[in-house]
Amino acid sequence: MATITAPTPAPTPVEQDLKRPARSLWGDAWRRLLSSVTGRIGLGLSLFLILLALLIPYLLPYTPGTDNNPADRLRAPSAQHWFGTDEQGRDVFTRVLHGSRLSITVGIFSAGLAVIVGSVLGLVAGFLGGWFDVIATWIFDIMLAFPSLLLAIAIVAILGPSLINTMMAVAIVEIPVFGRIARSAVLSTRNYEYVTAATATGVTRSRTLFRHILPNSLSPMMVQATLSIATSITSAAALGFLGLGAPPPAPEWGKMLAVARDQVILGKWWVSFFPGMGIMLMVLGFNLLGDGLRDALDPRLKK
Amino acid sequence: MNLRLRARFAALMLLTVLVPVLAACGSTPAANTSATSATSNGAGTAATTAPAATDAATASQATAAAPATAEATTAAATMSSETTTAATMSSETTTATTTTGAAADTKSFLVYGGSGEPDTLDVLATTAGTALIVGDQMLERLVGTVPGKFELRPSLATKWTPNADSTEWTFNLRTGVKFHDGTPFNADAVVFNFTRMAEHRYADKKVNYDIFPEIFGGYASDKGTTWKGVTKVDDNTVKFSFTQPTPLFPNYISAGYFGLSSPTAVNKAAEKYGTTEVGVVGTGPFKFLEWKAGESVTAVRNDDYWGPKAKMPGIVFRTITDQAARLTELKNQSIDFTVNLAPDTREALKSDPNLQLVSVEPFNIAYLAVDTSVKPLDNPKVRQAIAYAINKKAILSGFYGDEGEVATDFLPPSLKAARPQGVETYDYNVDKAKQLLKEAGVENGFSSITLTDTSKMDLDLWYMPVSRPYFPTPEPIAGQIASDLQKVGIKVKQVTEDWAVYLKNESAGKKHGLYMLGWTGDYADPNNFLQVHFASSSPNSTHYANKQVDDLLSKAGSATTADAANKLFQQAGQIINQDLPRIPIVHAPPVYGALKEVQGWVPNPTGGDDFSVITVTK
Repeated sequence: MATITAPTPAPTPVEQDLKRPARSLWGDAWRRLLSSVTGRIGLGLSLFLILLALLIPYLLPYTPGTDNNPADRLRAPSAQHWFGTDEQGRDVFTRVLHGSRLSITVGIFSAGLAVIVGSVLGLVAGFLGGWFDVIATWIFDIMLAFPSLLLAIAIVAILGPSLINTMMAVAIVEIPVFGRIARSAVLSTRNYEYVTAATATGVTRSRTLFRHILPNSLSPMMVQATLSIATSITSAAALGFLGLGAPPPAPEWGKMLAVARDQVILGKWWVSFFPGMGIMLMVLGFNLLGDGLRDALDPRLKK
Repeated sequence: MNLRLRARFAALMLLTVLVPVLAACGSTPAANTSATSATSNGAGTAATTAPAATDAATASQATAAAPATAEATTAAATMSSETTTAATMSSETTTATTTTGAAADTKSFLVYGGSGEPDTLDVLATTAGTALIVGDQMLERLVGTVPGKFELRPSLATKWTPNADSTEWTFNLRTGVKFHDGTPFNADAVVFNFTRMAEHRYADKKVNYDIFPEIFGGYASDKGTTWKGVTKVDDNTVKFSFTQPTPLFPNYISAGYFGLSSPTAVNKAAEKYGTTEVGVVGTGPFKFLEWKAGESVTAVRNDDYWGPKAKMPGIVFRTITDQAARLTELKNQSIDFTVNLAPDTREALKSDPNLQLVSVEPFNIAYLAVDTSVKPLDNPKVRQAIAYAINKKAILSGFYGDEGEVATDFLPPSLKAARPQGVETYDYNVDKAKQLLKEAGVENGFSSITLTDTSKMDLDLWYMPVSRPYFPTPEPIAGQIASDLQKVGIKVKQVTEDWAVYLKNESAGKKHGLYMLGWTGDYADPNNFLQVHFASSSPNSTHYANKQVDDLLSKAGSATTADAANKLFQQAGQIINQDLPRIPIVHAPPVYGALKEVQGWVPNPTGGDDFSVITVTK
């Protein structure tokens, strides 16, 4: 029996495009992020480091404070101590890995706090305008006029050195960055037709702000947030290096570098090399991710 | 536009406000550093012409020989963007060079890498070793010590004799000696200087002569002081009198604190004497030239010196707080000799063909002090438990390269004769520590303390922010102590603060919990260790008071024979050994380093070395 089936014509590219399930803005961005090498490396590196930080207590238990062994201090890397030991005879490998938890915590918490406070201030300032806008802009400008590290040092000097205060200081320094980005995003968004339409249909101001303007101003802030994690990590490490971070024996990378400085001159390179690598990889990861996100979220780069 | 301008202006205003704020809250090392650099910058801009000349010359030290004036001109040119200013400045520096002569030519000067900035150059008003070593090169004492030894030798006094019971000491002064300002050194000058200390002059302006009450039990007007007075017998003879026998008086005043200054200069500068602005005027082999805050003190050879003239034309005392930086500078030959290096650097110094390791006998004690006024540290059993819990041997081998010795007593090896015999040595013993904690009712250890006002706080372990000879690397040692204590259940919080604040809070008794500190002796007398740390009359930071100890130490101080004194010291030592308000950790030899070419440096165990005999070929 022969049934004649009409051969289905091969779909034209246009048809193919039309048939494919609709993708959201974010889905699209995600696909584009994964398609770029920078984005892939950045995402992979960041995720790897975050996972490592989350899992490390289960993989490699560590009790800061009781793992000292002065008899074994400053040993070069070996099978037993992969990264060698530090000036108190502690395993550098363990400390560097556990240090990633502190760095990630500081990075994400500080960037998060800065995003929330900064963008709310910026959004409101941009949306309301008037005296609130003037004052907020002034404050942002004043804060940006400081070298960010000096401001962070001043804040920690006033609050006293601790991990929480480091995070607060780093976050405060980042707030104006987000404030300005949010404000300028709002300024460009609020005159679009859909905002006017929303206002015309009687939507309240706060709803307009948070339902219509915020989501459409989000992409520059997401990019900046990712990059901010990286800068927060370096700032926190700098504070730690100056003795203003988490107090010992916390395995803070900046602090480890500071203590190791005395050893480098004597040829004990491993004490500073590995924490330094840790900072570098983490900052590189988040910076690449930020770059990838920027490319992915920029509609002008849409292929 | 207008708005932005105003914002910029506001930012500028805030910045000017913030800098002093930073300076004021010197509670952290970093904040303090930035504040200091700000001050030194300020001083730099306001500097007069003579410092500008030396500035340039110091900067060019490492570079090849070049006319000093040319160097000064380039420096002046870079300092100012306006050509006219540069021109005037350079012409001014030329005059400065010709008038001060040696001032501009610091290239041939000896360069010392000091481990901390002096707090004052007036040695009467400080107890900081970092200040004494600088001041001592310009100010001289009545009695000196033989280099590298404790033996006394004549200095500004040629002879000293006690009366029968040593309640009076007569000093014959050297004649023909002049202060750097040309005024004569005589009995009046001696009386003036000692009275200044004894009467606590400038007390209202916050000049303290801490060592005076520590040695004599109080200022002249205080109750309990053993000081009676100093009188002029004739132009070249003075007489000191005391309320009780003071057989060791010449030893006391052989310490670096008793460097004498020109009365004329002191009266002129009043409470400003010894500061960065005015410096000091003494009789020593070097004359004060200038002090750049946070950077260096410069002194030039005193060509009218009464004794053998200094070998080098001058000396620059640089402040390099970071020990790794001191080692780097030594390796780069930008300093000639330095002190208080980390024990880890011993090998590096020995193996470097250009450097030498200079060894010093340990005459110090590194200790862990315990606030005896807070619960549960007020219980001697708890303090003993802490002593047992700390693995001092591991600390010595780990952080001191096994040089020196574990301290079983507060007195260093050279004062062995006064140590108590057959007392507890508190060798590392975790079980014993746990047992003692159990007996004290804190079986599971503790992590907080209760102050006398019943408020509770975390148990702090304070470690010093700077390296001192007794604790060259305080931070990792603190980590080690913390981990040892954790093994018996005592959990501490490791904390530190700016060095000056640290010392201030310490002597004010505000360091609750545990704190690390040490002491380098000033003269060979057990009381210089015991009285200072355990007598209730001394600034008492551990709140320790034991009448018996007070009496024994005071009696020992007035004992006429060494044997009798040692017996009393031993008795006091036995009580201290059980009470343990300060837990001895180690006696450690400091690590000093110098270039191979440096000759004649014989460090004193007490720290008051004579730099005038040092030579270096440049």
